[in-house]
Amino acid sequence: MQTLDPSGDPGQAYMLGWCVDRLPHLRVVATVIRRLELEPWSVHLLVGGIGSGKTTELWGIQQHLKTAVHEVGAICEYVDVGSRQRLDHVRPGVLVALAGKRLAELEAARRGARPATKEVKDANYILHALADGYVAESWESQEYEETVVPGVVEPPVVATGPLTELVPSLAVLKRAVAPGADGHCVFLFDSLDRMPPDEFENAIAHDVRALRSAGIGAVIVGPMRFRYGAAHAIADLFEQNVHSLADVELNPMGLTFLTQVLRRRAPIELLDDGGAHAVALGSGGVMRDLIAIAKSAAQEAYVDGSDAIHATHVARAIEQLGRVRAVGLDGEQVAALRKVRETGTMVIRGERELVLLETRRVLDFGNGRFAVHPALAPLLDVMTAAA
Amino acid sequence: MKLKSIGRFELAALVALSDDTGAWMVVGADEPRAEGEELAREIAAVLNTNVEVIVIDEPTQLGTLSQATRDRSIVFVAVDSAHQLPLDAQRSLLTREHSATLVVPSATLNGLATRSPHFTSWIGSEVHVVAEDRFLDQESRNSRLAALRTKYGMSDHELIASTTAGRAPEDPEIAEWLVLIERGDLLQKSAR
Repeated sequence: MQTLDPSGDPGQAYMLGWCVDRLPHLRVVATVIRRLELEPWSVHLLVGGIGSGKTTELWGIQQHLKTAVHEVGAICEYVDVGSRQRLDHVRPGVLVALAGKRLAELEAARRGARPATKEVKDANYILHALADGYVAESWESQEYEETVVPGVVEPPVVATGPLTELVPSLAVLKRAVAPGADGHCVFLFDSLDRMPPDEFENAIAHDVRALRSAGIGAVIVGPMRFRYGAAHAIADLFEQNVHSLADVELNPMGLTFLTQVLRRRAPIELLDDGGAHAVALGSGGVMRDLIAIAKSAAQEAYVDGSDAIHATHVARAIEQLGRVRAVGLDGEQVAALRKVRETGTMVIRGERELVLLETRRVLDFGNGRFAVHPALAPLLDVMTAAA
Repeated sequence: MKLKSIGRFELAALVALSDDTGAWMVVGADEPRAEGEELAREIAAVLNTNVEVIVIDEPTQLGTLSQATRDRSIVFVAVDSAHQLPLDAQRSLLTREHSATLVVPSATLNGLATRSPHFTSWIGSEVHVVAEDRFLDQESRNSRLAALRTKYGMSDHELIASTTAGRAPEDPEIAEWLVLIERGDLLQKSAR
């Protein structure tokens, strides 16, 4: 059951070989890597629908940079920001602080028993002070005072000054672990797509510039809403390095890819090719839904006392996912979904359409082509009839 | 559109089935506190271990509580805090070694996907409501019992005899079967 867990760790899945390379035209990895090879200091924004496989792409980038870049000392670090910092507490300085602390660990590991240079010691102190805070000493009216200045990393959330002042310290540590002007030092910041979109830019803009100035590259996963209304504004911050991860289209090539992904995770004795094809169709090309339906179908088979997943199990699993997607829909949303189903397109006017996209009730296949999630689409008639 | 109701024993069996993946399940109930206790008892019987119930009063503690209990199956109950649970903001902290079942008021499920689209996607299809209708419950129970009898080629009486003699397979499905026929007292024998 572990191989069919939609909440499983994508990093582990990647390492265990449960993933399949995306189709060439959908591969963000290749584009990002090419840019990073040309400009190691470039900072990229990766957006995509929830469950589209962004984290898996980050692991793909990391694996490639670690194995294919031949420079000695290439650094590529994955950071799950959400596990280090409350995402509603991300403020300017957090990404720099997390990168700085990790660089300090890497530098210490590389240096071994040798003493650190004064330059490295100073850089370490400054970046740790930013992250964890420090005690400021002062004399006020001939009285000695100590003031605790909080760090930016959880739990304190107060930024301590212009990040540009920290660039030299970052650069010192970066040179110590990835020497040379073109030495690759890339951070992959995951989870920031779960930040409120209106807070995202203010929270990370200074960090993006500071990392770039220090010669450090980055790929930052951002809210999917940047695919739409606010895309132009955020693109300037990332110097147009914005990559959108699309869902897999349900054409013959896409279906073959999706069934290959299932085959890595479920043996043919459990899920035959026909079953895998049906699961792929029901997923709408959403990677996480693919795994969720397969898991649910396996549970249905288990309840039936069957060692293999049959067509009825898949059908019930798709209906269960559809019902989960349908819960909470109001009449207006149902009407909007029916229109998408009939026309195959959707005009994004505001919050109503964005919510349908964000909750994966509507899928965006690019070029103005939209579809109701195939697990949900058949239930729309039932809901209308019930109303 | 409503979710299909499923029986408590079936929910417990589903939790047990993916317990070692650390999967989350959300369960809507009219009486979340009482349901949490009932579910914990069922899950405990199937897993043959203690399952603690933790009522979340302070929503921001969700991630911390999950991390503190990540090494065992747990039932969380959120009533007044259910709408404020930072399921998306703290999702990275919800990764676990063993399962977590979150029981919330049924009405909370309506806004779950909109409030927490990332968490909802992450747990896939694991959003359920407990069957209130005893007939449905019994129907599902009988169907599952029939499947188990066929699979193991035994009647209920033969299972009891086999378990009492310590010959029953050491299999979670055997434990589930014993619970279904209300002979959970024999679990210790089957586990030997």
